[in-house]
Amino acid sequence: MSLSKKQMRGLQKQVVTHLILVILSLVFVVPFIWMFLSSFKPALEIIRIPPTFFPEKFTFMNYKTIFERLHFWRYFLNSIIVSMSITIIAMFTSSLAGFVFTKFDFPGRELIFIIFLTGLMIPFAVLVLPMYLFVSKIGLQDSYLGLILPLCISPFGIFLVRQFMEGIPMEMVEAARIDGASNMWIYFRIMVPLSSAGIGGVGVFTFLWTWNQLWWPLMIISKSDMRTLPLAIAALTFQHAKRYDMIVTGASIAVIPVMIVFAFAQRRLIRGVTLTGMKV
Amino acid sequence: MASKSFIKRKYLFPIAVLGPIFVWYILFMYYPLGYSLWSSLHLWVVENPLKSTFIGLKNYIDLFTIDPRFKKALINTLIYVLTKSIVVIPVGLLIASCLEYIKRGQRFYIFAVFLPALCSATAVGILFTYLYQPRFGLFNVLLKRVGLETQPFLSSPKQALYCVIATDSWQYIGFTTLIFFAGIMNMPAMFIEAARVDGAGPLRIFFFIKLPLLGHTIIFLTVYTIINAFQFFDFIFIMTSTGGGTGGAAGGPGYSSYVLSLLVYNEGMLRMQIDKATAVATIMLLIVMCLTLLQFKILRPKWEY
Repeated sequence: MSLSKKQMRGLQKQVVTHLILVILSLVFVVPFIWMFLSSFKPALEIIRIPPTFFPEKFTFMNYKTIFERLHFWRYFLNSIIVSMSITIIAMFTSSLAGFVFTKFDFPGRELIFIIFLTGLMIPFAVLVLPMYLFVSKIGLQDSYLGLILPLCISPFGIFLVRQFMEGIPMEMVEAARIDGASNMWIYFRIMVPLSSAGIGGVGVFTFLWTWNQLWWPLMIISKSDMRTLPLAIAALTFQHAKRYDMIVTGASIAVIPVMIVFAFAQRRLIRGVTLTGMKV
Repeated sequence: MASKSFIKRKYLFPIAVLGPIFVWYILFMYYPLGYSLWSSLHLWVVENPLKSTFIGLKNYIDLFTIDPRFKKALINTLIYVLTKSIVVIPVGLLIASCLEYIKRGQRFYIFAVFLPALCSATAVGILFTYLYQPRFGLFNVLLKRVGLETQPFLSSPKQALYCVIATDSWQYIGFTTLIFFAGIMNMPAMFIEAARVDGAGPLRIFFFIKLPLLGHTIIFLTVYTIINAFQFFDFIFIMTSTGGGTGGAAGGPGYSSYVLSLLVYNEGMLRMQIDKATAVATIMLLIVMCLTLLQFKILRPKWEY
């Protein structure tokens, strides 16, 4: 079966485009591969010149060291506690606020919403120093509460959930009210199920954002026990004699969970990003 | 009486919900914001901030006239913002156009390109300090293999800033690609079909049909990228913290890679010059606010087909 000339040309173009994309993808993937392979090399092999690509002596020693001697399990745990708490609080407050802003009528509603929205405009650099002075004055430095409280409400989340809840018909809420339903019943049985995509999006974004957060923990944490994962990794660069074996392994540990989440929730995440136009 | 208590009951729930959020906003948004503005106009006293003396705009004037690091940070920030935008938007558009063209395997390529965008700047930054390492880092190994001269990268005052921008862009391209890809997929097919029927080639279709249709997306991404890059802290802090191995605080070598957010941190936290640091932060606030309002203004009227 022979293809027509036009079909051939089309096929050629497809192949060339694939080739371009493969090369571009390699630019994004090779650093990760290099990193993972290096994390299985012994310290001396990493700094050898010229370096090896595949580990000559495959070892889990780096991971053992980083978890046992450098207490990375503790930082991992800290990060999970802080990110989970912030995510849950942000999801709750955003959805409750969205409910109130869309289904209740009270004076000053628009004004309060705009006041909340201005939070999106204020750079963190403006807040960070006074916040540090304030939080350390009330004695919350080196504590989970000090890490969680200042970041636990998401102006973007309030905005997003309100958009979603605006589409829920008022009649449903009123019908439930006439039947004697309480506000919390309406919230849990009507508002949350009908805007679960929006609330879920707020959850994913908030989680990734706090999981990756560096600046605030850097300000407020000085005890090494209380470090979050990004802070612990950053601390690896503070030393004058850099341990590249630990650096590579630390970076791998930070990337692996994100990769797993992405592999499983690729479609949902991509839809979230394209829908909201927000970078994680 | 009855109607009064009814009104109260009606407002009870909104107050119970918005009240705590409002308190949070005061404590963690408006109080810090006010404090920043206040201290930027004062000679801040470490021991007792309440005893600070009012000095008007002196902190700001000093920044522009005396402080060499502010000038450097401002210029570097502008370079950072411009270079990053110029790189990430065309490259994102290119990859998205290629993705549109192929029929199979889009998911795989999106995974590869978007993966860095999900990782923390800390992890990516530290990974790249390893790749930039002058002696055994990947980049110099490759340069040597091809027969080119090896580079100092992060330990050179001339290259450090650009190395950080390259890393940031590398991470960010996945995001612009995705937004462009969504924009291209949402384009109404009829325009492109009509042009094709009229005999327009792929290049003409790209420049005269697709590009104008993507105008909204391009403007959105440009402003968003500028706002983001303007405030960014993590990469500079991670990648320049020891000047690529030469020692010293972040922003090195010397202060060749200072940006505004880093200046805020270094002045405020390392030197406890809260007044000066908050003056820098306030300048950032003004610029970001202008950009955000511009974004709202431009984006209000959505494209109508």
